[in-house]
Amino acid sequence: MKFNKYILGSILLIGLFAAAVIAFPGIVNPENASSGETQSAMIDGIRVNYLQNSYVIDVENPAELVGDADYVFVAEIEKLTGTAYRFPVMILDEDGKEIEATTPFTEYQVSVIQNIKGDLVLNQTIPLQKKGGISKDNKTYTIPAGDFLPKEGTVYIFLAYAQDDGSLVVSGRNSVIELDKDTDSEMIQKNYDRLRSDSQILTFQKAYENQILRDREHSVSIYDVSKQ
Amino acid sequence: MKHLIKPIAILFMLSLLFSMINPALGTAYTLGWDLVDSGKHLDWGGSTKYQNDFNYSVNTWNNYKSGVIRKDSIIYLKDVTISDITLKNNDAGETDGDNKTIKFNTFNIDPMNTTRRRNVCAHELGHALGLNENPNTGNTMYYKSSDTYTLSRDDKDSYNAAVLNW
Ligand SMILES: [Zn+2]
Repeated sequence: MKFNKYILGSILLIGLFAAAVIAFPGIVNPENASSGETQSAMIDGIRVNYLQNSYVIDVENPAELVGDADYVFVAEIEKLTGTAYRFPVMILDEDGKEIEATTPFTEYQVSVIQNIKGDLVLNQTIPLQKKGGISKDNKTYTIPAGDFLPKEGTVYIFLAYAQDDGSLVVSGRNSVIELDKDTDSEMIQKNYDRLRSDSQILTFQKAYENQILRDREHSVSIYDVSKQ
Repeated sequence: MKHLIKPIAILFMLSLLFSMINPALGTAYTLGWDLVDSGKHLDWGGSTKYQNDFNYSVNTWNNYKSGVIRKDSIIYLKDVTISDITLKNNDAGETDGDNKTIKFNTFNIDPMNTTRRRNVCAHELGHALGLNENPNTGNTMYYKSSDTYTLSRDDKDSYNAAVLNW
């Protein structure tokens, strides 16, 4: 038997490549690889640093989200009042010098329109902290991956945790939920009837009926009706 | 040339067989960033109350690719700083790519069993190595902590893909 050595060479190469693809699909098949929210993501021209977490509940399941939160409510953001820089830790900078690093928490004043779980005071200005925010030098937003920073003058569903001091913290993926697009525009005209048919609110009301609880220690907010 | 056909054919059949033994062909999930230094090491500093679990998870990754993760020293400046925080919420660990920190949340880790604590440590170290979250259960990089502890096919493939970005 006589083979053309170029054809034979090609067959050998194809065979080797096929063997490699089969043995190590993740490496050789780039279409198999998925990349996260990239480091080049921008919001309003500002770079975003996405925090990578490990959660103790399924943060994609509304029944677990609602079950674990202390308060689930529909509220309008009246004002973004500032940023708290929490949990300082000493790190090394580029030159190997010790510097302090913190995590930003954005501070909001909100007005609760409707409670879904728990009983917060309605139509009063109350503060809450949301994990994520602008860096001290105003150059970077730090936000948990899959999460976003809510905007002033907009109505959202919030899933909040009461802290030991009675304050409210909203934190992580799916801790703030945007309402339907048309609900948003009705809200601007202060037409709160629209809330009754909003698909997201209906979803979280239903999730509350089927909530999945986690055994954990709870606190009561100082903005709970029972504390007034 | 001719004498090469047989070995190549055998190699090809072996890899086919190998893929059948491992039916769950992996998918790689990478972040596009990592905290690994230019010498291809991830040197950690700082401390956590879950130090034994953290050290155990360091060994898990190093058993797959030896010598990558090391404790910092005078010679090896830290690439990532570990610490503990306490916050009532639903996350157990957090890797911050800008600050180069891993923070463990005692509120959610204290009630966990050993396997789950190790899972959280290994998951966050995975992020520091450049691995992204996996949407499926049974993987260390699944976004919810679990009693899965060994590195899955996806975890390993993701690690291999992340290394290519170092
Ligand atoms: Zn994660």
